[in-house]
Amino acid sequence: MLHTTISSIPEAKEEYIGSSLIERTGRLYTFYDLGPADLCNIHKQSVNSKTEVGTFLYFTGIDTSNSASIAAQLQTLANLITSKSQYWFGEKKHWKVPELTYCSYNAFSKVDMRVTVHIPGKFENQIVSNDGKLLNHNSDDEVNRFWLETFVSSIVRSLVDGDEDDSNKIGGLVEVRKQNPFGSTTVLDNFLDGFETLFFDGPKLGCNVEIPQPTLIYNYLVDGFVKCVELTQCYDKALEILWRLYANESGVISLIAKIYLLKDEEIKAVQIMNEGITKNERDSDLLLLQAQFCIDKKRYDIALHLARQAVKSSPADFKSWSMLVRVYTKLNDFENALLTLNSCPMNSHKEKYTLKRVVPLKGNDDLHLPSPVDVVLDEVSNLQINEVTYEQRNLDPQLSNLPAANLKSTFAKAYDLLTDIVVKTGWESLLKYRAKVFVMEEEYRKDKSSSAQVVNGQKNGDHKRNGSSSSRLNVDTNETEDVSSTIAVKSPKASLGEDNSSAVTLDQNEDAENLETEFRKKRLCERWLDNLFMLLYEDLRAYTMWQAEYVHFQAQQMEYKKTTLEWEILGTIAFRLKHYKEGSIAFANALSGRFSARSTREMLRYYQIERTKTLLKNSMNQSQVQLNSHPSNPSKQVNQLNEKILECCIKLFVWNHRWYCDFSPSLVLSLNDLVSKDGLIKIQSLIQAVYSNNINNKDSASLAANHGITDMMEDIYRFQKLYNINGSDN
Amino acid sequence: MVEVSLTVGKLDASLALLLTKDHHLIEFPTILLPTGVKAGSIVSIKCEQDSQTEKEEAKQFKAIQDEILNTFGKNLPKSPVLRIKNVTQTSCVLEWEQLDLGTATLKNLFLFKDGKKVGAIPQPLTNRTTKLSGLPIDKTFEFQLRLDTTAGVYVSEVLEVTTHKMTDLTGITVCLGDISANEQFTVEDIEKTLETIGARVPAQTKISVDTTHFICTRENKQNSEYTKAGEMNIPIIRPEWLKACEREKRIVGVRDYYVKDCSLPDIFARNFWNKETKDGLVEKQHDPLPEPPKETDAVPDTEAVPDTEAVPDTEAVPDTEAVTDKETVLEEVPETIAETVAEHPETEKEAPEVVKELVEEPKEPVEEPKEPIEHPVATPEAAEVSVSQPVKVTVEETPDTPEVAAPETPELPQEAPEIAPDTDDTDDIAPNDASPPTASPSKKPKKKKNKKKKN
Repeated sequence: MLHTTISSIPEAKEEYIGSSLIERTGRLYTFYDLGPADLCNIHKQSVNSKTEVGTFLYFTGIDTSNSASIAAQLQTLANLITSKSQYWFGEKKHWKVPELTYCSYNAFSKVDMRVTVHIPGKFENQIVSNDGKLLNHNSDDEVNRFWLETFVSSIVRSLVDGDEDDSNKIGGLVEVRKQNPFGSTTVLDNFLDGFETLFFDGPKLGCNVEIPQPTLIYNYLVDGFVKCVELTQCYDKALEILWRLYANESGVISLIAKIYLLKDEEIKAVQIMNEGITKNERDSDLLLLQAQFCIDKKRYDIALHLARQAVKSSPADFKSWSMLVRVYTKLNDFENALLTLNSCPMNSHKEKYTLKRVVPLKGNDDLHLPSPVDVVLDEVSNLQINEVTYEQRNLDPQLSNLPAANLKSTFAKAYDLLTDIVVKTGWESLLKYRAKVFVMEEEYRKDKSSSAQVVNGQKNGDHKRNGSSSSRLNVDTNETEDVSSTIAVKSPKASLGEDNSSAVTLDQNEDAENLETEFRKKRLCERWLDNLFMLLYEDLRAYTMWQAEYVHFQAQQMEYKKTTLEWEILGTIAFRLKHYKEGSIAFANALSGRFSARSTREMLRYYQIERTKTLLKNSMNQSQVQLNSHPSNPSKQVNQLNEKILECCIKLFVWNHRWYCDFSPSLVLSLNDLVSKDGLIKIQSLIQAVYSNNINNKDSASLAANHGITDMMEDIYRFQKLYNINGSDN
Repeated sequence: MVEVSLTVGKLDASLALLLTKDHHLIEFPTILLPTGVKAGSIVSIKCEQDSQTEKEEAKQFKAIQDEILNTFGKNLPKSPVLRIKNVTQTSCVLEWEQLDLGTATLKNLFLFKDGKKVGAIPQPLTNRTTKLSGLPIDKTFEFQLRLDTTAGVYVSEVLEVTTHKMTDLTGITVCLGDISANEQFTVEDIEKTLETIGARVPAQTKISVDTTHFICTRENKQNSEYTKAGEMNIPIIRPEWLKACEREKRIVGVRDYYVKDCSLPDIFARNFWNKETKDGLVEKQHDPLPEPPKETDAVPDTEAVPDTEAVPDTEAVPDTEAVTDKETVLEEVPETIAETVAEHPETEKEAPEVVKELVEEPKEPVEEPKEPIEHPVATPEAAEVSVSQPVKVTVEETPDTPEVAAPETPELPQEAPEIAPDTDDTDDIAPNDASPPTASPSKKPKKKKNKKKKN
């Protein structure tokens, strides 16, 4: 088991003592949805000299259910800092901590709860309202309610925080310490109770990008709840609560069904979904859940009906439309897929929830980022930042400027849907489908000229924009034929356009009617979708160039050399385009150079996809395997994949720990999954065998290389045993 | 019904802008406008509730919902049904009926032994048997299968399995390999012996998971069953072993009967088949260094199966253990088999004399090998060679606890592909084989001596 040490506490210097608190107060009104991470302000005095500094850092996962528990946390933190001298920007300093303040944002009531501890002395609470005023006259009941809300907000923040993103990308928030909030079952129980109490206030926390406005069933509170249930597998408790809520709100039924699915009680879930839909056949959440279930069961025909009904029930939500697009894609009905994609309502003002800085930093010089030495895995922990910045500086500009990587919100999701289509059709067919359903530049121009004859030339700016954007695309696609011979980017419209124009001049009147009807059936492509086609083209070009170059280099027996960062970008492109195999090669190449958290995460994802595929193939080919007496050994493959998954998990755990993060829901889920398959004992002994200190002790050179990993993992085993995660019993 | 009159304000590709008299601006898909409409045209739109279609759609939707419920909401997985396929002294083969998952998806199939998880069954949808070896002799275990699916967890009934006593030969399941035509026995003889000792009849011709011994008279790498037996660590032995079991009314060690590594003269000398014999061999038998048969020379038993089996000698024990250690098969090793075995003769009350004989008999062969160095060395070697192979074996078994090795003990492979026409080796040996009936009496005194030594 690991004990938090001072080297697990990152800090940032304040401009002057207390300035971070003032800054936070000043920005309270800008907080929306879940708000930012908790902030802890530390006032430090040097024991010897007179120097005083103020520092701060962010926290998630701290128990903020009442002021006393926060005060205790602060006291522990103060003890940590004072117990030993600290290397402070190159000097060894011994600190006293006379005062600490902890702020946690209550996203329900939009107030900031603050606890200040004076050492020696007592602690005091403050409640700061949205506009920065102190709220003093609150009854006990109100205060208790505030604390409950604060507690639930902070747990939801730690659960919903997008830990998939690389926390270490330039400008990301690093001065944050993330702890596992569910260190004891009391916290879980409190959270579940809090969820029940605050359920009807859930929409105040906001929701993710899939729908424009949060609803009772779809908001961050519910997201956090579901994730918590998934992590701790406390299905029965959760169901109890949901059934109680169901009495007042029938929409809860979709959550109940969802939990049953998570619990692996799909028959029960199907029955509940049926019951719920019989009662309210326009419950889009339930319809989508049912559609997803049918997709998983490969019944796309049924899923289509459900997705259509879902769109009819909530036409303004991205999630219902995107489901319809997916079903059409699965059914290989690409024209409808494109048309429905075109109809997806976009949500440009929202972003995925991530923790953000509240107090701006002047520069990296203000950051004190110690290296925790208690857990070390050589390749992970010794990654030098200058290595990375060097790669960044020398990055091939063609790779660095691919805009598809920076898509946000629903646009990123729509792009994902589009690549799902292109991976099935190929680029050229996609263009044909596009030309078939959308009005193309030439047609538009022709239409204009013909309508000009009739209506004396009517001009429309909006039209022109649309037209010109598609013309831009056309030009591009034509040019690129030379740039990369492998992508068949021959745009069908080019030739079509020529024919048409001649046709128009020769016998306009004859064809006019035909073309007219043809043309009238088509729709205008939304600008954003048009833009996505452009991005897709750029991605494909980069991808094909890489593949072609690679083949060329191989033919010449030359080494195809790229930096880790470049490989990583190539891998990301390939993954975006759903070329997982090629992508995994790129990521593996990236990792052969140095460690990279992102590549490791993507590899983890790849291995998981592969494992699912192998298992699926295994069950699908059941009859064939029986005929064939020597099938390739899939269980061996799965075992190998499991080992690789475990390795990736460990590296990411170490990496996260190095960046003060000891709680990553997605990693814990990956590990839970392994444990349910292999049993905790096996996983434990695997880790023990590979990463135990003793083994490395034999070789003094590597003594420092790896250590503390088993201790770190102890914490996770403890978590799994505490909640009796499936498989943790043996 | 509502009827509105509208002016087409602008006619674009795909979208038209329509204006009402009270200044509503309506975006209207061009495709829905009648042909020939131009900007400036006036159109009228009639709106009417279509309750007929509404009803139809509701009906269709209901049908879909029913379909989903009937397809996915009724068909529960069934609990697995576990059965014993074969039991021997130290192993058992369990089989289960084809899993019925309903519409659910399989997640895992676990085998539990005495309430503890042994491990997940690999490829549970195609595999329907599993073999557990290295069990202690004459003990009872409780087995249970647990099926994890996406529609819940299902367990089989608890199945009690008692491993056989040393005298119980019913677990022997042999697979027949190549039997040379000019041996002194025929396939029928073998079948008859199987019947007499109560082993499974008829003998198998293909190796299967419950095969305990592979019987043949010569090595034939061309025979896929032969190779498979090697891969699966099934002892490849001569048929005389069956006769030895028959004679001693208990399971005897296979050590001396390995096709690869046996002393044929010794075997022949004991005249298992009771047929006329030629004298030549009797002498040889007393020779301290019997000429090893050709096979042994050529390839020192790479394939010989480590056999912890029922070797009742204390002297054999070291070997057994060595083998055990190296074997990476699964299963915990029961109390050293030798111990269990040693107890047996005493507890056995019926026909004590016979038992005594049995105990003694096997010793002799063990002792002899002691002088030629080949035997003791050979076995560990064999074990090492086979280390890589157990991996395959594990497919049938439960690979959960890698730390523990399991001895494959009284396994009897079986399965006989057609008897191949004879070739070289066996031909030479054949004339010499049968030993005179006198041989066995003459051995007896010797055996007794051995026993005394031990004591």
